[in-house]
Amino acid sequence: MGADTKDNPVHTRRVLFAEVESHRSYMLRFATAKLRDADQAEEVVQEALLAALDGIDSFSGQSALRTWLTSILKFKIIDFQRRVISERAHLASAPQTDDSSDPEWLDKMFDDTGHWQPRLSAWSNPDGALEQKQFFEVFERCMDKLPSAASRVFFKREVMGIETDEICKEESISSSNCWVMLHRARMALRECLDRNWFQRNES
Amino acid sequence: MNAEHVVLSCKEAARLMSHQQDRALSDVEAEELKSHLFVCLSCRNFNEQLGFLRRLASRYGGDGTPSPDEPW
Repeated sequence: MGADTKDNPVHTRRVLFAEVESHRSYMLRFATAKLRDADQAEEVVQEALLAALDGIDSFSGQSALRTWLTSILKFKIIDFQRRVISERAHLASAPQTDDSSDPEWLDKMFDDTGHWQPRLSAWSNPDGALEQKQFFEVFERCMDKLPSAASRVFFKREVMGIETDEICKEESISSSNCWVMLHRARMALRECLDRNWFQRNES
Repeated sequence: MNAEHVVLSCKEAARLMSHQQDRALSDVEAEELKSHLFVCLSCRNFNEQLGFLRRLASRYGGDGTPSPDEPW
């Protein structure tokens, strides 16, 4: 504990901090090379520098400062990449889970064993309905009830007659997503026409 | 034959019938659907109605929509 500046811990820290900072541009190049993105590199270097300053006491001085800093940076880069991957996986899995489990309204059309409930009876004179203006109004109202994306996809597929591949591209969705969407739209529309037209006009 | 004996459920069959309008079914899918439709009246009705929905939509897109003046 002398007045000797060399042994002054505060002074030593200050010198070390300044030295750490002097490696920033090297670290940025290193991180940019790894991540291929300047903004992400900046973020990671920032994290690494903070961690380094925070743990500066554990720097033994055995290795060169740059080597020590680089090992921290490498760890931070891996950490960052993991975060990005898991975020992407999370985003990708969101519609996926939506795919595998059906919405409640669709589940309700079937019993526990997957059979129609109630049973589906044939529509009487559907082609006659095609001659009635009112029927098309019911059809329009049924389409309006669909979620907007489903309504759009159905319209493109069935009304405009566009192939599924092209619709997927336009909507930036996967083919399986597209098929599921179309299936749900058809289920909803069939049910809506059944309830609002065919069942009413039966008796 | 009871519908209970059919491997494919109506729910699954409905999905395949719908997909059939958008993509080619695999041989296994097509075979399973065929057997299901053979024994299931509700699904045959559903298939008819899917076909009708397609006719309806293309009619709606074309000029086949009845005009307001047409009697109904």
